Amino acid sequence: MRLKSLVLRDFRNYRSLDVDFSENVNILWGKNAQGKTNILEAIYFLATARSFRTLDRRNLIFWDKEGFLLSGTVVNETEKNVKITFFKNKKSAQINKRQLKKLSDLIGVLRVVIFTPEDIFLMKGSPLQRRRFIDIYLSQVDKNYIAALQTFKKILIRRNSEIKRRTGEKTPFLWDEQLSQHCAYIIKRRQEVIEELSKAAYSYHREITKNKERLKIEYQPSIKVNEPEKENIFKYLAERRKKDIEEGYTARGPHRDDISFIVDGRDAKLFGSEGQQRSIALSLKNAEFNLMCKATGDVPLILADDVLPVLDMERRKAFFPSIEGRTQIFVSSTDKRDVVNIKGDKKLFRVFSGNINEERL
Amino acid sequence: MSGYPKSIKNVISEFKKLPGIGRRSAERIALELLKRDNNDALALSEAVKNIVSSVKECKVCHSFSEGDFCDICSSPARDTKILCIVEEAKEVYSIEDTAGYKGVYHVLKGKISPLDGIGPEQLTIKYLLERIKEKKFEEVIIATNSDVDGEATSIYLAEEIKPYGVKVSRIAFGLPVGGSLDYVDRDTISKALECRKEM
Ligand SMILES: Nc1ncnc2c1ncn2[C@@H]1O[C@H](COP(=O)(O)OP(=O)(O)OP(=O)(O)O)[C@@H](O)[C@H]1O
Ligand SMILES: [Mg+2]
Ligand SMILES: [Zn+2]
Repeated sequence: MRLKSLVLRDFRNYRSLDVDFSENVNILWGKNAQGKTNILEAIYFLATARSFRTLDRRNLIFWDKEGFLLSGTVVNETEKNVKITFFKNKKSAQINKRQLKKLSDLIGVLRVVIFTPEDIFLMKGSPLQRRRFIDIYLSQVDKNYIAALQTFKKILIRRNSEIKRRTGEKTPFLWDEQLSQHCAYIIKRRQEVIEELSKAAYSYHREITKNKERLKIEYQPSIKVNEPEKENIFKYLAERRKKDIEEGYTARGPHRDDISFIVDGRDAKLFGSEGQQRSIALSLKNAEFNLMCKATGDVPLILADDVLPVLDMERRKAFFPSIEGRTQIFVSSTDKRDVVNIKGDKKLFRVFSGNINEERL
Repeated sequence: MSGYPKSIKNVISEFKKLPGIGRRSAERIALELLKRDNNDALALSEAVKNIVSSVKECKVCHSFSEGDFCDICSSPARDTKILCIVEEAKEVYSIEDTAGYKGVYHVLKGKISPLDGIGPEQLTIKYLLERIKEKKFEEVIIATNSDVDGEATSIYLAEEIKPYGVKVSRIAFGLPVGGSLDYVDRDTISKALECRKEM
């Protein structure tokens, strides 16, 4: 798939932007704080219906304006226009002018894998960040996963609110039937995906560490059952009811899952050096890219936000050669020299204070 | 709106309280009533007055009724061995429109929804259970909606009703008629499979 063009109105520091992209390599370069990452954020939002930098959509609106508009034309077998508006706190999305019921219904039209210096927080950060990574991956490849996750969250809020209101031994658990059904699907999909990610990341990691390190990615589900079947999970939750009431909330479930990264038998979150953690993040992202290709039979876009400065010399040299030619990529950099040699049909954009100008190469 | 005479302002602000009517629509309706033949406005006010004074709640099923008992509960033609439980009175009328169901109803007047602070005690479940105890139904059909609250309510009801030894069934949710499997989400398909019936 390709993103042919992008339109922004009052998005971050762009009052108005209309741009046509190269179907291969797009380089965004410019000084700090000019709007390079903002463009990648816009593309990411069109794909995933969220930002990778903020949870509050209002932060995406140009200073004191009332809303923003984002729209992009995606070329696959057919051409599709995706449009998102957020105006006076109301979000709305359209595909080819057809109104969608929910913003999340647009996920999957455009698919992306992002590389950013923040990826290291997949190691250093909280379990929440690792769950978000898996959820966004799965949302992009599996519509049923989005639905299961959304319903799961609805049920969890209700169950917890009943537990908190101390409505007794009964009412909080009226939801467990549905809860275990959705948990089963979420856990099953996470388990499958993490297993596949582990395999793909293993070989990539062997390569970039010159056969020195063995990486294993392990799913740490909060609900421990032999098979993630509805009945098993229902039983598991039933056995924990007393504890949940004591503790005042639902202590086990997909909302408490985590992922471990094991290098040669040791947890890299705890023992990995900064450089090691960066390499693991890089292996993980590459695995994500490969998996997404396999799962969808289509190649996602790659967004690479200022990635080189945080890598060591060797990984730096290897980074672009490992992705160039494989898909449409969007690269941001403050140093033009880092990126002008990427191979492919290129467009070079100079980003300056909320404007971009295509430059001759 | 500030400039209108007081009586017009009153009408506008009353309309505005209704669901789905904003300030502009309220204003439009009020002015339209003034423009029309006087009888229209009077007929409206008469009709509104009537629903207030004559619509009550049926003492048996808690649906709408103009007397103590609604038309369905007082009809000798209904099959009083089958009971269908719905969330709201309006759902009685949706089922009635299909003309296929000949049993009687019970309206819960809501569903269990913890986020709105509504538990079983706020619904008409107490009366429902009294009815079941007295009336010896052969079958009780739970027709609450398929959203998460409706499902939870159905589970609560099933557990409460089963001890009385009646057959309890859940209304089937399934594929839209005329729909193709390709366009249906996983939840709907799995519900439809659960609710399959022998041929
Ligand atoms: N809601 C907003 N409205 C207007 N401007 C904004 C908004 N949010 C951020 N900005 C501006 O956008 C600029 C930052 O843009 P961006 O993060 O894309 O920079 P960048 O070019 O990637 O810089 P760096 O090289 O430092 O990463 C800042 O000048 C910031 O003030
Ligand atoms: Mg940046
Ligand atoms: Zn009645």
